[in-house]
Amino acid sequence: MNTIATAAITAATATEPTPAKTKYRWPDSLAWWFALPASFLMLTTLILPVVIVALLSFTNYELGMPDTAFVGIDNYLSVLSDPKFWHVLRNTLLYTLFVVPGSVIGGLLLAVLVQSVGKGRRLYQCLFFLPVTATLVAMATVWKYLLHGQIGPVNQLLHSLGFTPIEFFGDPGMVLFSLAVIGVWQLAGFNMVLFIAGLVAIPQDLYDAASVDGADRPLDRFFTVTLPLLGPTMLFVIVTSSLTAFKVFDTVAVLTRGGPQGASEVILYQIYLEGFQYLRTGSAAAMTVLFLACILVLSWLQTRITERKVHYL
Amino acid sequence: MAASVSLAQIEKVYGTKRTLNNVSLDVAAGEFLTLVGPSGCGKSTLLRIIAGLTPHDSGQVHIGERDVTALPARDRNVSMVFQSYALYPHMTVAENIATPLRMQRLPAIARIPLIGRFWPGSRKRRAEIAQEVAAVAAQVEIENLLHSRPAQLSGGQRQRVAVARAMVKQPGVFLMDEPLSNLDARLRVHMRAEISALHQRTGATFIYVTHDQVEAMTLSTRVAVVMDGCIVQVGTPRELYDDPQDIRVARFIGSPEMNTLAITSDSPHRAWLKDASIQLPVQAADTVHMGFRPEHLKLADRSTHHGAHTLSIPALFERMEVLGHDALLFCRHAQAQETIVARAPVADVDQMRSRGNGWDKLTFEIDLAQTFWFNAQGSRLPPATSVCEILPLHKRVS
Repeated sequence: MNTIATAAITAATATEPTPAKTKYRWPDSLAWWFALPASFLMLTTLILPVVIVALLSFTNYELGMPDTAFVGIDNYLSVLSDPKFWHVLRNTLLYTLFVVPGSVIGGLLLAVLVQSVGKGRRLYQCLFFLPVTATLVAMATVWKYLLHGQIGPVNQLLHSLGFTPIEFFGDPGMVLFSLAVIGVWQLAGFNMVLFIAGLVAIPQDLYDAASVDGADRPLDRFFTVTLPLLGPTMLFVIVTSSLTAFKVFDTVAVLTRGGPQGASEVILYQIYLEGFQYLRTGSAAAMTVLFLACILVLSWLQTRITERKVHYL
Repeated sequence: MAASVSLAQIEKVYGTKRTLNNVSLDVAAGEFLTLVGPSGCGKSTLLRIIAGLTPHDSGQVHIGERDVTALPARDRNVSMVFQSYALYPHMTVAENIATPLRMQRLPAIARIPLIGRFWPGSRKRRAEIAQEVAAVAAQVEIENLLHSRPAQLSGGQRQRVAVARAMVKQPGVFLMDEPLSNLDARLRVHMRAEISALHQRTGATFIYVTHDQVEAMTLSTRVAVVMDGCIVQVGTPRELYDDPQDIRVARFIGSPEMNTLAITSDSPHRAWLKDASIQLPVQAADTVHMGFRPEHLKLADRSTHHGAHTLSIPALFERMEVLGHDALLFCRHAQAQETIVARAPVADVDQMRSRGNGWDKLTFEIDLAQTFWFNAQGSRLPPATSVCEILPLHKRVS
């Protein structure tokens, strides 16, 4: 009984920063037993696959080939010297640059609007959240129809208004933007829910104080109270949105297959082609490791830059 | 500078509940008026209506000579200190205090971060604002905190920042919504003195909401007691204590609360209380309530004979709380079973004990001049000027 209690206390205090003077005490063996199930899951589903991929990236392993040899950093060198890699990286970043501001500002706008609705707030919340729950592959088909070059309703509308129809998925200059619209449509509802949670947590007193202080017009209220107090939520939303955008795959795979003329090729799609179409596993693994590194750097940077400015308490 | 406040027939209904019922109140310029009452009585709602934060259903609000009923909070020449202080957590203390002035004096374009400072003329105004902020901060002694964030401050410091933010506008009316209730007891006494000093110094009108009668009694020039959505009585602290017009006021003001005994009478001036010939000092009908303050009860020896103008009350002792100089005696009326609390100097209690009087049965004496009489509805009965009969002894206490 006593050991369990001590172990629990040790486990609880282990994460706290220990003062420099006191020597770090290794947790009791019992604490390790408590941590075992979670550690096991983390190891098998997260850490081990990453390690295996990292190891594979140093080999010339190809799916189904009998002999495999270590090739050092050859895979990385060939990936980094391949203009294709830089092309897909650029496309992915461009897509992310479209999607993140669109989905964050869109989500924020939806959240503020939906929160100010009296009756039917729930209905609006559900409606805007629907894209999150929908299967993107199925929805992509709908989008394909909506944005179709000839028969799509959007083009019909443009045509009837006197504009020239746009080949949304056929024009190399247009395709990334069209995909980004779908990405925004899918993410905005999710971001809205996160922002609503943030909005609800803002004390009403602050709005009252703002009213007395003279900031009672909607824009003043928004910039004096709402936006600054959504800071922590904003950070989280931006990080998750950029990660999601960076991982874009299904719309590309279903709608454009990287076309036209490779204008919509993105990293994950390229990895998929390397690994599962051309069966060059080693090279795909190298790209995956680079992709992971990109994501890590991206989220670290964002957290680093914004964190100091958004946590007040 | 100071503005008067006048409320006329304010009504407020939340759903089916009538929160404020025909409330009228006049506050003179420069006065310190406290709205006091138990929680949920509507005092905060009333304050928010004056501030313009809560719309009311009917009635008028005047501040100074202006009818502000339809004006938003920012145009009402009022400042408010909130119970939670409501400081903007993302701003420094200086920015918090500057906010009302920024909103007043800088056009929207000049308030935009970064580019706003290039707006012509904004530099000069910003300098002015910074100067005024520093001056106000010095007045409440927080100059050295100007660059900290609210999260780094203690409760008392936050309170000062909130007061400074209210002061910087130099409003005609200060509204305070339980500003001291989040502080510990010592600090509360200290801040009470500071708020009182602030009132003296600024000369502005203060309307102060609290549920704490000590705050109400010590700070205010006048107190309005709010009960169940109505203002029951407005008066100086002395008036409320000496001359309560309603049994609820009588019970609310004073600590421990006033004792009340329900007495049934069968005709005017004829009521009955055991062992005592009472001159019933009021015109009574049916049930009347007799009230008397714990501090007015005297411990009596059973042997001593009381005069015609005193009433003796037999009581069964239950427990005692020693407060230091005084002690509270918690008793029950010997027949009526109603609780009676008496406040007596500890010395008297000791004297009683030493004389060997029975400790479980006590007799209290009360001067009839120090009793308050209320009718069945709780309204104060005026003392009857006519004859007071001396009644036969009979047990008729209900």
